[in-house]
Formats: sequence, C-alpha cells, structure tokens
Amino acid sequence: MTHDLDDAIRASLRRNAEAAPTIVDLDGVRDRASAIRRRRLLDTTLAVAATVVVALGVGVLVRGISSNQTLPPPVNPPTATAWPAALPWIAYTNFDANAQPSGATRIQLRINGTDRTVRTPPGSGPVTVLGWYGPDHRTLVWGEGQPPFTTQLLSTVTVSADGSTLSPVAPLRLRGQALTPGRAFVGADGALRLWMPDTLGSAASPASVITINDSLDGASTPWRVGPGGAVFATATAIGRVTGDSQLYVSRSPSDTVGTRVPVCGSLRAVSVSPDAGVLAVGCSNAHAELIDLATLKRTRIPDIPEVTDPGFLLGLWWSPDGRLHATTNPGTATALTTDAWTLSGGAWAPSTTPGVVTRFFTTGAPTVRLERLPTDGVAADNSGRLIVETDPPVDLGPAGSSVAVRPTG
Amino acid sequence: MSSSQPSFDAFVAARGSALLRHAYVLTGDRHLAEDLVQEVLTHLYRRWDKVAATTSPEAYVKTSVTRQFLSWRRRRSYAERPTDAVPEPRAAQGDSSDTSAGDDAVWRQLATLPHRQRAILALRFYDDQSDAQIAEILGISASAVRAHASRGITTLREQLAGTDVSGAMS
Repeated sequence: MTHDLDDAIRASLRRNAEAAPTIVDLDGVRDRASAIRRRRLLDTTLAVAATVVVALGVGVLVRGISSNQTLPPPVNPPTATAWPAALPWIAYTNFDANAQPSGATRIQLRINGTDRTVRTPPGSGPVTVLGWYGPDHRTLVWGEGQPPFTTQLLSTVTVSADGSTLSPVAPLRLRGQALTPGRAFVGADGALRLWMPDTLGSAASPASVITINDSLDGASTPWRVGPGGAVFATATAIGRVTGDSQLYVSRSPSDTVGTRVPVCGSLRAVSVSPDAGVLAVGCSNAHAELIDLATLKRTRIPDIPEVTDPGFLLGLWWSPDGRLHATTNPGTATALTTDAWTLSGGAWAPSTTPGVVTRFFTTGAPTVRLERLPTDGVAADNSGRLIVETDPPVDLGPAGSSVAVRPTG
Repeated sequence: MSSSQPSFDAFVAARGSALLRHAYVLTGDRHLAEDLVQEVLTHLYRRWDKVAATTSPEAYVKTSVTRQFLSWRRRRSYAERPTDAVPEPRAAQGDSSDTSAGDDAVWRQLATLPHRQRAILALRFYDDQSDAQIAEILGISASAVRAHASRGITTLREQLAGTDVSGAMS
C-alpha cells in the first residue's frame, strides 16, 4: 500500500502538472521590476530629502537658541476646506488603527470640498475602492481585499446629487445578466453589471459575493450612453494589469458577452470618445490605436511619447471637444512629474488643454496626488513640456492603497 | 555575464513552462502558479547576473519559487475569503477513465494538506529530490523533512481509504 500510494502521488502530480499554464508573462515581469526600481528610487529620494529637512531644522533651532531669537510660528498643513470645490468627488481608503478590536478600514469621501467617512464593518479586512457607478456616477462601489484575490465582497453607498446625504451601506445587488467590462458599468436601465470571466455571458445570481479568477484591476473605461439611452460602448482590459490583457467591447445593453478585440499587448489605458464612436487604447509598449466602435476597425496612431522603459503610460482621456490626451510618467528621478500630451495634427504634442483632471496616482509616500492641467495653460517648467500641476496631497494613511475619482465628463 | 550564461529572456523562454509546472504542483491553482512565478522572476530580474552565475540557475529559481510559496501563503492567507461555491478542481488533460478518477482523488487530497507537507511531497515525488536536497531547499533538517512527509502520506492514506489508487499509476 505504501509503495502504491507513493506511486499514485507521483503519477497524480505528473499527470496534473500537464494542466499547468505554459507561458510566463515576460513583459509583466519587466514592468513590475521597473516599477519596483522606481519606487525604491523615490523612497530613497524622499528619505534623503527628509534627512536634509531634519538637518536644516536642527540647524535653524541651534541658531535660534544661540542667538536667543524667537522662532516663527509653525505653518499649519492644508485643511480639507482648502481643497478646490471644483475638483471631482474622490474616494479613498484609510485605516484607523485605533478602532477596536484590531483596527478598521474607513472609506474617505471628499465631496465638494467636504470630507465624509464611511465605516466598514469591524473585521472586514482591507478595502479597495473600485469606482463611481450608477446614474450620474453617484454610487461608490468597493470590495474587501486587494487584487489579485479571487473573491471580493462588494458593497455600495450612494451620494445625493448635491453631495449632502449618504445612503446606508448596502451589499451590491446585481440585476440581469452578468457583464462587466472592467470593474463595472451601468446599463441604460440603471443596473450595475459586473464582468465575471468565469461566467462570461451567463446569468449572475443577485448576490453580494463575486468570485472571479482575475483581479478587479487593469484598464477600464466608463460607459457612454448615446442618443436614445443606448449603451454604445464599454470596454475593459481584464487581467493582471500587465498580462493577459483582453479587451471586450460591448455596444448595447443586450450585448451581454461583448466582442473581444485583439489589442497591442499589455493594455494600459482605454477611453471612449464623447460621441461614443471611437475607443482609444494605449499599451505599455507605447503603441496606441483607435477602434471604430461601429465596425471595430483598428487604426494605429502615433506611438505615445515617453512610454517605453523607464517611462510608462498613465492614462488616456478624451476632452469634451473630441481631442485625445495622454498622460505619461518619464520614469526618471522625479517620479512626481507627469507629462500631458495631446494628439494634434497626426502627432503627440505637449498638451495645453486647461482644467482637465488627468490622473491620480500614489506616490512613494502614503499620499495621493490629484492632477490636472494648469487652467492658464502655461507650462510649469522651462523644458518645453507641460508639467501637470498637483493639488494638495491627500493623506491615505499607512494602509491606504486605492482611490476612485468620479468621472466628470 | 559571460556568454555561456543564459540571458534572462532566454532562460524564461526555455524554462518558463517548467517553472510554471513546478509552481502549479505546489499551489494546485493555475492563477496562483502564474502569480507565484511572476513574483519570483520579478525579484530575480534585477540581479539576474548573480543568478545566472550559479551552478544551476534553474535550481536556484525553483528554490526561490518554493520558498516564496511557503512565505507567500502565510502572508496572503489573512485576506482569503471563503465562498460557498467552491469550483471543481480543473481536470487534468487526458482520458476520463477510472484511472484518472483515482488520480484526481489523490490530487484533490494533496490540496488539503498543509502547504509545507504538500511542498515536500511535490519536491519528493514530482521533482525526485532526495530528503537531503529538500532539506537544503527548505532550510530545515532532513529528519524534519521525513517527519513532514510521513505525516502528509499518513493523512493521504487515511483520506484515500477505500479509494483505488493503484490504477492511477499508469
């Protein structure tokens, strides 16, 4: 029996090993390694800066004491009311270490310059905010856990149109077919739908626990509702951010499966044009395409500048006037720098579109910066490129990790 | 890096599928296997010169995968959520005779073992490593390897009592 069992284990392992995946995502490995390198560089820079600041502070203190001078009063940090009211609603997570019994994750909402807090049940674990959905993008959806978990408990809270009132926290309820290009989207009937790769096209039971085989991450784009209330396009790259990118386009509420469109590799950003006629996609290799949503015909456009290693693509945006913009990070020492570009005359040029919120991103420190182009359209440096200005940073706390910005377009 | 040493890309192209199979028998899950291999390769990518200069880069990477699996499961287990709908394990490629049925019973029970026991059985029976080699990979003594293996096999024997596994050896 002993040898029989040994042989059975050996046979079982070898037989089942044949069902293993066969391809390593080499691009993903390189991208993640580059991201780690940038992060460490930033951490080092911040540590050096902090050391210098402390050293200077000690020097000032010593001089003040020795000369018996009065030190200037401390400068107060920016308060919530300093946040420009014109910025979109944002939601981000924070962790309250003092909550009993073992801390709790809170969701902070910053709406019209006012901070609000949504508390999650004790013991609910890490929380990732996924986005603003529902009619007028007023329903925030979040999941417990962080990618690439295979199961997430999804919950919602809805904010009144004037931003003054929050609904009670409720589990996410699904209606109709399961369809989630990306994290979620809303059909013309107002129902929120989720994409579950395992059950693509099959009915989803109205439950609050979603089981997926992929992370709820990757590029995604909000839906667009065209004339007559039809959903013209939703699109998402489902995958582990850097690999297995799949683009599905859904062009009507009844299209519960979507059409898979081949893309250029590791998909980084997708965006639907204001008239819902064109989908722009950008990849980690700087390759960019426009996809006609009526015919699904792909047209390559000029490569996005600064995207290849060490730089990387942050996002694509259509402005209301129908122009396409891209934001990139050059990947050099100044990781807080974001460059904005506009496709103009068949080439990407430094962007001058004012007032468009382009992207949020986390820095090496536990903060997030919300960026937008300068409203005066003036370049912020002398390099000939437009540097996106940063608004006051939001403190995410030590456990903060996700941010959702309400679409404004 | 000397010309006789494999480049990172060449190594991944040549041995990537073997690494994935190794990770798969450790984790029992295709997606976790992909994540595990990618995480380890990401870590080793930046110092590949040193890895490539070792006697056996593949052994080095497999050891890293195994150790990462053990530490990774500890770190990630806090966030895993139970679900009522447990998906059926993916059936192995091959026939659907009684042989594979008995085979899958072994595979399913392997998945229920503590991860250290499963790792040791995978190294012993899939990679044909000796107890001394396994001990070196895991950083424990050979006697501890034998103890873990014995407990794992005893558990399997109890769980598989009444199941005909003899036919699974084809």
